[in-house]
Amino acid sequence: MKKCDIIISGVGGQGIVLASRLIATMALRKGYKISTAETIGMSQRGGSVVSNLRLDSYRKGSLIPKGQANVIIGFEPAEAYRYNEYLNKDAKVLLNSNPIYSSSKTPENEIYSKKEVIKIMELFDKNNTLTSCNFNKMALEFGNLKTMNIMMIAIACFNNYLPFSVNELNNTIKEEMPSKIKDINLKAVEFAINNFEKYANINSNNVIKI
Amino acid sequence: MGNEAIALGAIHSNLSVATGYAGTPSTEVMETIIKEVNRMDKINNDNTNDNNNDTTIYVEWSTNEKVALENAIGASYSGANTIVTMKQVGLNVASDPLMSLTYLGTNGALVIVVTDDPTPHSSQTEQDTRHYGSFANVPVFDPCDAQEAYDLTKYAYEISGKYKTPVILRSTTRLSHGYNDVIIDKVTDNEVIERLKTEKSNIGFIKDPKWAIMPKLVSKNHPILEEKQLKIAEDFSNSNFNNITIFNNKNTDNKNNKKNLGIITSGVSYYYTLEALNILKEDKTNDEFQNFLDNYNIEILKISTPYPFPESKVLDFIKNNKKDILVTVEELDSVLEDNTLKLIGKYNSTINNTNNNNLNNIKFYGKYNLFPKCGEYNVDIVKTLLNKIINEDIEFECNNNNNNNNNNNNNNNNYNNYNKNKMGNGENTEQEITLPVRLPTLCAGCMHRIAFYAFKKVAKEFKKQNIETIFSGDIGCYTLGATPPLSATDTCLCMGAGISLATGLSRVNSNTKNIAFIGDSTFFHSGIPAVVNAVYNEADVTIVVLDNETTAMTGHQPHPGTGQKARGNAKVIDIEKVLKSCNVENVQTIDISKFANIEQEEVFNNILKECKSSMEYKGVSAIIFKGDCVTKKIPNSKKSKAKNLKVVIDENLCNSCKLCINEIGCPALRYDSLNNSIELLDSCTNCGLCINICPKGALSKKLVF
Ligand code: SF4
Ligand code: SF4
Repeated sequence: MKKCDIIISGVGGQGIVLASRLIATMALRKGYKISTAETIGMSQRGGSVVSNLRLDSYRKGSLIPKGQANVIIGFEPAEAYRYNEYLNKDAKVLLNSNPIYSSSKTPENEIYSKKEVIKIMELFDKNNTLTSCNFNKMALEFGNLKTMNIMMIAIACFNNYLPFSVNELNNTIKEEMPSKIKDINLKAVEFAINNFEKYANINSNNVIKI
Repeated sequence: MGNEAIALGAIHSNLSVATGYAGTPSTEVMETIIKEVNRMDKINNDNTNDNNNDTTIYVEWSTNEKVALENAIGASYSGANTIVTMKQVGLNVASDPLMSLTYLGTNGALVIVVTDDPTPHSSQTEQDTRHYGSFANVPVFDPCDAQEAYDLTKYAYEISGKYKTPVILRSTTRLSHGYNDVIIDKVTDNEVIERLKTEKSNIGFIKDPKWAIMPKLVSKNHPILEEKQLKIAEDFSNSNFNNITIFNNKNTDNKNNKKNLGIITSGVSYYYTLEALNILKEDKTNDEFQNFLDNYNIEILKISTPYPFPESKVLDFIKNNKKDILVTVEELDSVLEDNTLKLIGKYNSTINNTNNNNLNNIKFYGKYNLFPKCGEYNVDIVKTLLNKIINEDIEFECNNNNNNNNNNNNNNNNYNNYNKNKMGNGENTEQEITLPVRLPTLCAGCMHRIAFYAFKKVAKEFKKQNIETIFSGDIGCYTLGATPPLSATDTCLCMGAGISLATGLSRVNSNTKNIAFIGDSTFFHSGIPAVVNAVYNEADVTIVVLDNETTAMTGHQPHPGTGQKARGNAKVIDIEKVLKSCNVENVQTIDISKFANIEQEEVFNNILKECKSSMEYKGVSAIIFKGDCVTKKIPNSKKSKAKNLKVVIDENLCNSCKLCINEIGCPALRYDSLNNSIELLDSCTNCGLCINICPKGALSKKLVF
């Protein structure tokens, strides 16, 4: 079974921990050995959150070494770029282009803006396989911002970023999720796949728009 | 999750009593047990949440770690299998009973789960719990992943029961909060319940002088205790948990021509070592390592029971394929290293004269000459250093041939090189991107921000009369009051120390006001004795209890002020009444939830007045700020009293002076440098604090329907 080291990063409150558990569940169902680690800041909200997910047939420590990650699912552009040096040369990047600005009073935070986001996307586009999309807008149009995480996983499966098919994702949701949230998540998956083009940041001429 | 695996391991070892105090990264052990107990009671059709029936594990969040351990000891004396959970600093609080208990021993198994926090991610210290093992003569178990956490927990119960000794199961952040797939025993819930029933029917305290500590008893028991350690060390040496991995076993036939490298490691460092070696092995551009692989055998010994040190196992490891190089890889302190060095010394002094098999010419690498003593390890650190050792050895061989061997110098250079590496300078490419800094900060709308800000404001008034205010903080969410711009924490040491520190400060700093902030859970943990001391010894301090009616930092555990227990409801112990009964005469309670209504200014001025009068009071005064933790509310719920009031910003009035940001640092306010404007982010809870700051009246509450 091919190893797959996945980094999921973003800001506290975006549903990163749940996203990584869902991927881990899919992996378990497929017979992978898994180990995951979550690094969450002292602040429960608004801090950087990163989850390391390692799918393999061998047992491993849960922290991904530099230059080893195959995939990064970035819930926020800067938080994705923070882990740039953990990606391997062929790594695939799935990015939510919607920036979350930080309000702590530092010079960096005053600079971090749309301009920086575009730079990040250009760099990812140059060095990696990038898929980016405004998942916040997508989830809002669907009617529930909280489904943003499941939409990102759906696109990750759909684009073969993860070793799971959309079908496997749907089955995992059906069989493993509490019934209360099952339907909305299944619908969110469908919505994401059908409307992906509309929110994509890179059009067919390879022009970045955000 | 590692913590869940530990909990299941305990339940499958016929656990009867579980106690603990919440502390990251240990908390989920208790939480999992509580969840399992609740689930099994549903199966049992017992929804009484009654903690004391025959088929239920008794669970409790205790008021502090010492109390938790003492409770478990009582249960253990009666024959019950018990678990006590805490973080590393918690064990300091519980160390008093632990040190004594070890002389008496236990009856039912008693496993103390203690989680260390290398780096640290959310702790006051980076201490290494393994030391408590040798300090207290308590066996220590140190698993490397969630699977081993499960298996080793069961083994810990076995050893504790067999030798009638308390044991420590030590974990670290990466294990406690890491997730692995785990294969657990096939035990049905009914079996667990049945076993518990039988188990509980055998529990009962039998009076015996052996349970009452007396100097005479201690001096009688001490040699027995030492003896026990030797026996346990033998058990550990024979245990499969301390096992050897052969890293490269190709060309086994000409083994004898090869040199031997042995690595002794433990915990997550075991995986870091394996993976680092694998990365080096696969890196075909690394000639040195490929070369090394052909000329060396590499064996890894994983030690999962660091105390009592499994001497025979380690000695065999060193002597078998007589090792030329030995490396210890472990996070935090040099426990494996010290013990191995000790062993080599001991072995040399006894064997030296009788045979020539001495170990003097082993090259040894550990924390004394190479590995970092502080902070968390990862594959990259271990890889860099193993590579260094290998390079050095190849160099050494060359140098040796040239009769030019200055080993000491080499080591020093290595250490310096390492430090340079660790700084990571030059590793980051493409730094033209500016990434935001997400400092830990109090949540948007957090009630603590209002309290801190109010006291800062009043302190300014005192300052005008040349009276300085010293703020003593404590451990909890509100430790974040220390971060700018609030900066309302001048001292912070450990749980419950804020009040006593403020008291001490007040004794020697004339013309100051001394304020101690303490949370509700911390108040019950160890704040109360400090209150009693301050009142009785007539100090002049102001105690501010930040009561959000939960233990927020660790995930909302109940405490005696909440009206809840680990399971079910209880009678609230009222903090105001406790303070009054400790003879604190000037006690005010401020209901922060009122703050969110429309007469903002008036409410805020009232708060300021209360703060001022309590600071002016000569003697011990107290203010309790009571309110809701914003993370406890369901996000976007319209439950708040100000449900139709929304804070808005009027861009025509705002002149971007940034005062609102600079004064309170609410994460829902952001300065947008592109447009030179202030943005109100989605995370705003409409608490209204910022309205009191804006001099232009640009922030206000609007009714929305
Ligand atoms: S009202 Fe002001 S202080 Fe309160 S959460 Fe919103 S921005 Fe922050
Ligand atoms: S304090 Fe008032 S005027 Fe100044 S930046 Fe904030 S909202 Fe604008």
